[in-house]
Amino acid sequence: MSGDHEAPHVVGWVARIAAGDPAAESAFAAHFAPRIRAMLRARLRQADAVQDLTQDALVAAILALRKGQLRDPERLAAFVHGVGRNLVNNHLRGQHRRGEAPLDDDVAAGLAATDSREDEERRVVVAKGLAAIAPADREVLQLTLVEGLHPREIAQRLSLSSDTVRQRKTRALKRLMAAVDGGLEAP
Amino acid sequence: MECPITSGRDLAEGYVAGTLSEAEQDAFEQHFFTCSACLAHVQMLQEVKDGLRRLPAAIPGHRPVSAGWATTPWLGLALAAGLVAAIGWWWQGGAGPARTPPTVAVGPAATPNPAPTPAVPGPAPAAPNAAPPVEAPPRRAVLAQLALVVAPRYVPIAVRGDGPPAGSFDAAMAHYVAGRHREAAAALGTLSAEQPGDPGIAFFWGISELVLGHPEPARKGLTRAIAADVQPYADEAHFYLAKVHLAEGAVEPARRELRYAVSHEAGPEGEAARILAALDRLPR
Repeated sequence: MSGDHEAPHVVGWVARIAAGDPAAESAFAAHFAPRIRAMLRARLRQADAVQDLTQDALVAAILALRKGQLRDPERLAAFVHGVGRNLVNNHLRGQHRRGEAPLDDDVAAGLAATDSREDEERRVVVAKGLAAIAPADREVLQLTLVEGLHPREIAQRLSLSSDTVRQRKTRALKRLMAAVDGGLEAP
Repeated sequence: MECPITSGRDLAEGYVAGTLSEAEQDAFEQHFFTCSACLAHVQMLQEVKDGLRRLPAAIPGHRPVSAGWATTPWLGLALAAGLVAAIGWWWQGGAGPARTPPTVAVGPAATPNPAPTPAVPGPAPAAPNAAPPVEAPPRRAVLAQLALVVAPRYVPIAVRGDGPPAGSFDAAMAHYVAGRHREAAAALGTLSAEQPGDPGIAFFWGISELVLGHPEPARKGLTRAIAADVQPYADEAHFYLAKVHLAEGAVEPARRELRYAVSHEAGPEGEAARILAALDRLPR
């Protein structure tokens, strides 16, 4: 896959939301909520702020789309990303005030239930996967993801070659990905 | 943007680790807003990162730190230097006047300098073979020594923005990392009461209370972590529960927990086995 092109049905939501189609709003929210949440999770530390700001970003984007403020539907993803990024910046500057949610109650409730169920399933599967991988591989993951070290730095710290570090990391991530794929696909 | 997965340049790890530049971060976010594969990869790595940062000592690379040690009241047992040295010698199996007294590191030092503590003064120059026999230290002193605990290291997540909000797990763990175990214990105890099924909160609450020398709440936290049955907290909690028993002088319960720790490789590497061996030599 190359380039950042939006799928046609996603692009179609722009006109449908502007026309007042609640089903399009629901589909839009379900599609973009995990993306916004992943972004906020990387940029913020407070879990409650992630939840609140995800909702706020969806609300702000839908309000703008209702008003027809997005001229190029092909730019929908970039538009939503920009809304999320601005909210993060305002939040970090202490300037963000929460607004009133115009989302339909059923949509909001459905989103929350889905989010928490999927997050919990992923959390459990990853926890089991982490317990199952070799301690030496886990250490490489720890140094990579938690301490943010480059393989070269990890190699120095552990007296290993950079290739060995990469092999351990790749092996661990493959196992975890397999566990997550299997776990989340299981009925 | 070329998809990092297909182009072989994995930006997701750097993104989740927080090591990308602002421009790279922005570009990658715009990409995963349209790329489901990259989004799924980011979500998994974020979960892995959160899981890793809560892992206790079982993670290799988890290195015991002395932060908080100097404040632990158990240190207030204040085993006299000579007694500590004798225990250290005894623990290593040393006994008898003919042996050269070893140098023993008796856990982290009580002073800011963690250098190994000389176990026994060197033989007097005038009479190098005339050192008196070292008697086995009293049982209680040995148990107190074996009960000493170093709080497992916790690696907080590094993110941009303000500090963690008051009342959050991260805020409590900021106290823990800084060695403020009294504050950590209070905050984690409150959180554990609200979320008794959370193994990370329960585990670190138990550890904080253990370091403070409060066996009852330590037992409660560690027991909750065991009951939650989420690894590695549950296995690690068995090792530290053994420390609670040792602090109370309850040798058999401590042995049970230590045997579990040995069989499940819990606690600092090899320590459960060493303590079990020391208990076998415990003075009667």
